[in-house]
Formats: sequence, C-alpha cells, structure tokens
Amino acid sequence: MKTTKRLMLMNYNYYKEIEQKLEHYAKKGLVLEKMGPYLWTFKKTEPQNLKYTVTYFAEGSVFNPHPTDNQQTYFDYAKAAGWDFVCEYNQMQIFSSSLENPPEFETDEKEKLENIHKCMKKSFVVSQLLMLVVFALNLFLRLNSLERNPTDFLSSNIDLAILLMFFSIILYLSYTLINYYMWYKKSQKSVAMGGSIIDNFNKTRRYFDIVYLIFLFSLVGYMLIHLLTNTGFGIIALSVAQLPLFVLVFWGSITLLKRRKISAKANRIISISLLILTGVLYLGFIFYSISQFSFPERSNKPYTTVDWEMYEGMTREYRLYSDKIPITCEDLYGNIDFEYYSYETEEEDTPLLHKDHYSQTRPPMKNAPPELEYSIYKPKFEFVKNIVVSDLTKLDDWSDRKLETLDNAIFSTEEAYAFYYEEPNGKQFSGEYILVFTDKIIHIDAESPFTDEQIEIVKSKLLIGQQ
Amino acid sequence: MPREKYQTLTEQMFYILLCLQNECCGVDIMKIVSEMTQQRVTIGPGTLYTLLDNFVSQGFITQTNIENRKKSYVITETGKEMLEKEYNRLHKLTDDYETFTRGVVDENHKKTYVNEL
Repeated sequence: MKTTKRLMLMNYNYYKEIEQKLEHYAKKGLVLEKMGPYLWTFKKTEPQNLKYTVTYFAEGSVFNPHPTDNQQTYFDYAKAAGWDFVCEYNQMQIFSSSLENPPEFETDEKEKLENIHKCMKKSFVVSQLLMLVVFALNLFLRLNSLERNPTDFLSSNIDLAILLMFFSIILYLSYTLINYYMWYKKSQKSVAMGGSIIDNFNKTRRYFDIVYLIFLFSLVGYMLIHLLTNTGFGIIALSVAQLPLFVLVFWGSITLLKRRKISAKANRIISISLLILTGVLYLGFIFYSISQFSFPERSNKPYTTVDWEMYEGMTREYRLYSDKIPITCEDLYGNIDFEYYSYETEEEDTPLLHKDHYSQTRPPMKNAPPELEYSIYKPKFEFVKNIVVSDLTKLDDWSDRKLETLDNAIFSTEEAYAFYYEEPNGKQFSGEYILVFTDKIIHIDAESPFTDEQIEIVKSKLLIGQQ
Repeated sequence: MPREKYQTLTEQMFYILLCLQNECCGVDIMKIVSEMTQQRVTIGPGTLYTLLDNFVSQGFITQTNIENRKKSYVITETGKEMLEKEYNRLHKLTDDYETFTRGVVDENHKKTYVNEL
C-alpha cells in the first residue's frame, strides 16, 4: 500500500480543525495511518467518506510501549459504538468511522471539556510553559548582552534578529496560552448554562498562526544566510546539525525502547537523560573542534597571508587585507616602511544603527610601527544616538581610565571626549577620542594623542566640518 | 474523601447508575441505556469512559471483575443513595410542576406549601 507524508502544523488543541482536515483528506483518498509531531502518514486509497473524532486520553503518552489497559477499554467502548481507533500521539487519540451517522463520541459537554482540560494541563500547557521559561531565559541573556555592549548589539543584524526571534516566540507562546485559557473559561461558562463547548476552530487564529510561522521562518532563514556568508562552513554544519541530531537521538531512543517493551517510566527517564547527555557531549565536541581547527571567518575581500612567528616554535597565520580606509597611519605619521600592515573596513547596517569600522593593524612585534582603529556610527534614531554616546563614554570599574571633555571647537563637534590616565606627572592622554556630531559619532583609537596638525588631517580626511 | 463533584445527576449519569443496579460491563451499558430509553438517551463511548472512571473514584460504583479486558461494574451503597436522592429531586420537580401549573395538590404537599406561606 502506498503511503505519503503530510506536514500537519496543527496546534495540539485544535481538535475540530484536525477532524475536518482528516475528513477532507479521506474524501481525496488519503486515509490517516500514523501521526507524529509534525509529519503524519497517510495511506493512498479510493476516496472514502470517513468521519473522524479527535479526543484526549489522560494516560496516553509517547513513552507507552503499548496502549495501557484503560486505554484498551476506551478503544473497546469506541469500537462497540462504531468508532475504530486509528492512531495516537501523546494524549491525542484519533478514531474514524465509516458509518454514515456514527453516534457522537462525547455526549456530555461538561465531562468532555473537563477531560480536555485535564489532558491539556498535563501536556499542552506544561510544554508551552516549559518553552516559555526556556525562551524567557534566552531573552534575558540576550537583553543582558544588549545592556553590556549596546553599541555592538545595535549594529549587529544577527543579534537584533535573535532578540526579535526570542521576543516574538515568547509573545506567541503567551498568546496561545491566553487563547487556550480564554477558550476554556468561555466554554466552561457556556457549558454551565447548558450550552456546548465553544468552537475553537477560528479562521483569524489560523491566519495569525500562518503569518507568524512565515515570519519566524524568514527570521531563521535570514540567520542561516547570515551565518553562511559570514562564517566558515564548519561552524554552520556544526550548529545546523545539532537539531536533527537531538531529534534523532531522542526519538530513536523512545522508539527503540518502546519496541523492546520497556515501561513508560523507564523510557522517559532513559530518553531524557540520553538527550541531556547528547547535549553536553555535543557542546564539548563543538568547543573541542573550535580549539583544534579554529574555523576561519569567510571573507570575499582579497587578502594575502603571512605566517608569523609568535614565539619559538609557534607560528600563526595572519591575514593582511588591503581595503581602502579614509585615514591611514601614513597620513598621520608620515611614510612608514612596513609590509605587514592589514587595512580593513567592515560595514554593518541595521534598522537602528549604521556602523563603519576601519582598522590598520599588524601582527604583534617588538618596536612595532603604530596601529590605528576607528568607527563611524550613524544612528537612525535619537534614542539610539543617546545609547551609543553613553556606551562609548562609559568608564569601567576595573580600569582607572578617565574621561576629559574637549572643547567642541577643536573637532567642530556637538560633544567631544578624550580618555586619559592619571599619572604622577599629570594627565596622560591615551589617543582615544569620542566625537559626537549631529548625524554621527566617531570613535577613534590611536596610539598617542593627536597634535594640532594631526587633528587637521583627521578633520579633512573624515570630512568633518565640510558638509 | 470524595470530591463534592456531583450534586445532581445528568440523564446519562442517572441511567448509568440505574443500569448498574445489575452488574454490567461498560460496552453493554451503552446498549442497555439506549434500549431502556428507546434511543432517547445515548451515551458516547468517550463520555461513558469518563463517567465510569469518575463514578469509581467517587465511590458510586465499583469494578467487579475483568474478563478478557472486559471490565464489569456494579452500583455501591453510596451510588444507590445518590440515585435515590436524584429520584426524590426529580419527584419534587414534577410535584412542584403540578402544584403550580395544574393546581393538582396532594394533601401532603398542600400542608407544606401553606406552612411555607
């Protein structure tokens, strides 16, 4: 018999919708055979007029090696009434009937509602709450990273996308839970008045679900593309492989133990422990791989490489880029005869902040020529500008680095700051400047404070005061 | 302690208890109730399972034996009391109906009615 699999993106509590969908499929000659979390298996047959009923049985569980005794009794009652058991997934049980007018499966709305609620409390609500906790924890970690490094965070599309993803998942999970409780409360009221359970099949909700899924998949797609274009394939393969691996280990263990007729309790303990163990081992494997094979960043820009001896017997490969950067050390300090400079530009544009980072760096060495790094931030909103300025001018507890406010006339700024260290012989400026303009913020990190002449060079090269 | 879940009985509950005055297995209850009521009251298999399960935990019925997975039940004293209580309640309903719509009052009820006024 030919079978086919269909993706069923149905919330666990949409029983009415599932019944209608299955009846529709049967009319087209697709008869349900087996169900899983997402992929359901259908037999290809002649078109049939089948009636379906989706119910919930509290003892049902994916860990059960075979239906429990009570479940068998349940099936027997169903059979006597003309309903044949088809398949189950967790507590959800599906029956079909070829009778033209099969008797109602549930004839007491109050008992039906309370039974659904009992089962939902055991699986649906628990799993939603658990996911809510996991994602809330992740969101908290992301927000923490936003608070620590707001400038980097706001100028990184991938960080913003992950934050948005966690945030939207939390909103969606809360929405489903609230929706479920509202449905339960409304149905309870209706049943108490002698009415029936409120229909939870709702077109608007379905469209909302679809729109949300498209949104979520585009976010994930964006993140994958970002990973693909920015990092090596090794990292991608490692991070993408983990989800199918976990699913395979978990389901493989459940199925295998079920086949060996291991009890549900033992199966649950073994499978969950195995999943946690796999998670820990995999994390270890990732760290090991990174330390062993240091996955290089992918780059489309031309570069040359140099093998640099860090110390006796230890060499490291350095990439030397030759991007065009607005100001070079040569501009500031005159001609430098040095062939191992790397000139690099990096650009990132997010809906909140545009960042251009320029650097002229070299491998570490004694009596080395100077290095230079600077970033130009163009905030797209006033509040982002405030965040970036306060982040860049923040003083660290662990460092005695201090901040001096400079005269705005020097760089034609709105605000200007220079960092210095308090030394016995007075303030020692470090060469790090924060320059705030109407439309941009420039953060320069030079090796020594600028002379008047160098300030003029910086102003003219960065087109300051010339717009 | 059993929960105070059932203050009154629905028709389906009433007929299940009525039917279980004689030992009977679940599957047969559906048939018997349907015959007893000339198909007026039918009990769906899902509801039957839930009600039997609840009745056992409330102590209204007790499981007597299992044969080839067929579980049989019989009513307990508590169940009988519940059934009796429901019978009296229903009786009171019909009496009140007759008192207040048809004016047919039996002596007993008249006394109570007058006293209450």
